[in-house]
Amino acid sequence: MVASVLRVTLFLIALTVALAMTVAGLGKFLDPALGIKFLKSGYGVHAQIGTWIIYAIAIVELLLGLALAYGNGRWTWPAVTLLALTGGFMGLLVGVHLRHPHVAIDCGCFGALQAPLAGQSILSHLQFNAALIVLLLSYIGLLSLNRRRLRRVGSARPFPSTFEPIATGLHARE
Amino acid sequence: MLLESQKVTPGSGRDPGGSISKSGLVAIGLILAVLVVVGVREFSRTDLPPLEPFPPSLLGAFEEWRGPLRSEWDSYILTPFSESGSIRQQLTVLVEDAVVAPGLEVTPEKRSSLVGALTAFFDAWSSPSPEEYLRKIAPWRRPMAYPRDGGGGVMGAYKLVTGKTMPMGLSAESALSVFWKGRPDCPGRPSAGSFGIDQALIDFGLENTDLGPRNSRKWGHTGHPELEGKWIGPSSTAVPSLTEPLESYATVRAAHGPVVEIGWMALVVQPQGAKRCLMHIKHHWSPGRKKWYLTGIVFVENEDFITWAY
Repeated sequence: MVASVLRVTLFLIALTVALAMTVAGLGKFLDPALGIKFLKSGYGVHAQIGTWIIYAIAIVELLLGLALAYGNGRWTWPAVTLLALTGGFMGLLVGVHLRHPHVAIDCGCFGALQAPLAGQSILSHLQFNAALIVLLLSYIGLLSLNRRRLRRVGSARPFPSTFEPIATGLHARE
Repeated sequence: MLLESQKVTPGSGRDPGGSISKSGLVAIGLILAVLVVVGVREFSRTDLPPLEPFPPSLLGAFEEWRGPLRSEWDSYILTPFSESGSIRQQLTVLVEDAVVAPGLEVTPEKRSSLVGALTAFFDAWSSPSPEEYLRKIAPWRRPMAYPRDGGGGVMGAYKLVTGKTMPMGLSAESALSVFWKGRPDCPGRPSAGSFGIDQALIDFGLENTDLGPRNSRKWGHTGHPELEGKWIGPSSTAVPSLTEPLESYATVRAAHGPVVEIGWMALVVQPQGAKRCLMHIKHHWSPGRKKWYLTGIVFVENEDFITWAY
C-alpha cells in the first residue's frame, strides 16, 4: 500500500513538473523573442547570443522534462538537474528585479504560451518557480525515502544488491 | 495499472534505464499529447494578443500626475507634423527659450542644429510611406537588422501589433511597415504635435539627470520617478527602435568623455485614433560630427495604446 502511494505520488509529481518544463520549452521554441528581450533588457546580452541561449534552454527543458517523465521513480538526475535549472531561473529573475526594480520585464519563460496558473510578471514566475522547486524537492525526498525503504525490504529478502535501484519504486510490492 | 505496467527485467544490472518503463512511456505519451494540443492551438490562433491593462497599483499615482495636465493638453491647438514651416518657426522660438543646465553653454549653432533635426523628424513622421520616412531620417539614423543588432523592445511590440512572432533576420524596413500601420486598437504613429510657447519643453542638459534642468519644469517631473518606468511599460508601449544613430551615445561618450550634452523635449501629440499624450524625445550631441542624434522616444499614456517605431 505504501509503495503504491509512493509510486503514484512520484508519477504525478514527475508528470506535473515535466509538463511545466516541456510546455515552457515548446513555448520558447514557438516564440523566443520574449526570452531574448529579457536577456537583452535585463542583462545586456546581445540578441544574437540571446537567441542561441533561449533555444538551448528550450532544448534542455524539453529533454529534461521528458527524461523526468520517462524515468519517474527510477532516475534522480533529471530532478536534480531541473532543480538546479529552476534555481538558476529564479536567480536570473531576482537579478533582473534588483538591476531594474522599476521596470516591468516579462521573463519570456513560457515564450508564446501563458504559464500554467501564472501571469507574466516576474513575481508570478518567481512564485511558479518556487512551486516547481518545492515539487522537485518533494520528488527527490520521496525517491530517497522509497529507496531507503526498499533497501530495508531488500535486505530482508534474498535479492542481489544489484537489483536495488531497479526495484526502487518500480516492481517491488509489499 | 501503474504497478502492472512497471515491469523490470531481473538481471539488467544497476542501470535502471536499461529496461523499458511502461509508466514512463505513458507519461511521455501524455506530455506529447498536451504539447501537440498546445502547439496546434497556438499555431491556429489568428486573434491579436490582448492589450494589457494599466497596472491598478500604479493608476492612482499616474492620474495624480497626469490629471492636472490633461485639461491643459486638451486646450492646445495642434500643429500637424506635415506643416514643417510652421513647426520650424515654433521650434526656433522654443529652442531659444530652452532651459540650459548650469555651467553648460549651448551655442547658436547647436540650437540651430537641434531645430533642424527635430523638424526633419516631425516631417518624416508625416511621410506617406515608411520608405520615405527612412530616406528623410538617413542623415541621422540608419536601419538595423533583427535580432542581430536590434533592441528587445521591437520583438514584444511586433507580437503586440501582429499577433505573430517576429521573424528572425527581419529588416528595419519590413518591421517599420508593420508598425507604420499599427493595429485597430493600437495606433501606429503620432499624427500631430502641439507647438507653442509654454506648450512644449526643450531642455539642454547632461545625461546625468541630477545635473540637468528638467526637474525644474512641470512635464519633466512626475513626482513619482520610481513608477515612471512601469507606466511606460505594458500600457503605453515604450517606443521600439528600428534605426540607430550614425554615432551612438556610447561612441560619443567613449570618444569625447563622459560629459555628453543632451537636448530633451516633451510635447503633446495626438496619435491617430488615440487621445492626446505626452511624447518625450531625447537627442545627444556629437562634438565630432556636430550633430544632434536622436537617442530615444517615449510616449506616456494609459487609456489608449500606442506603439511607434523610430
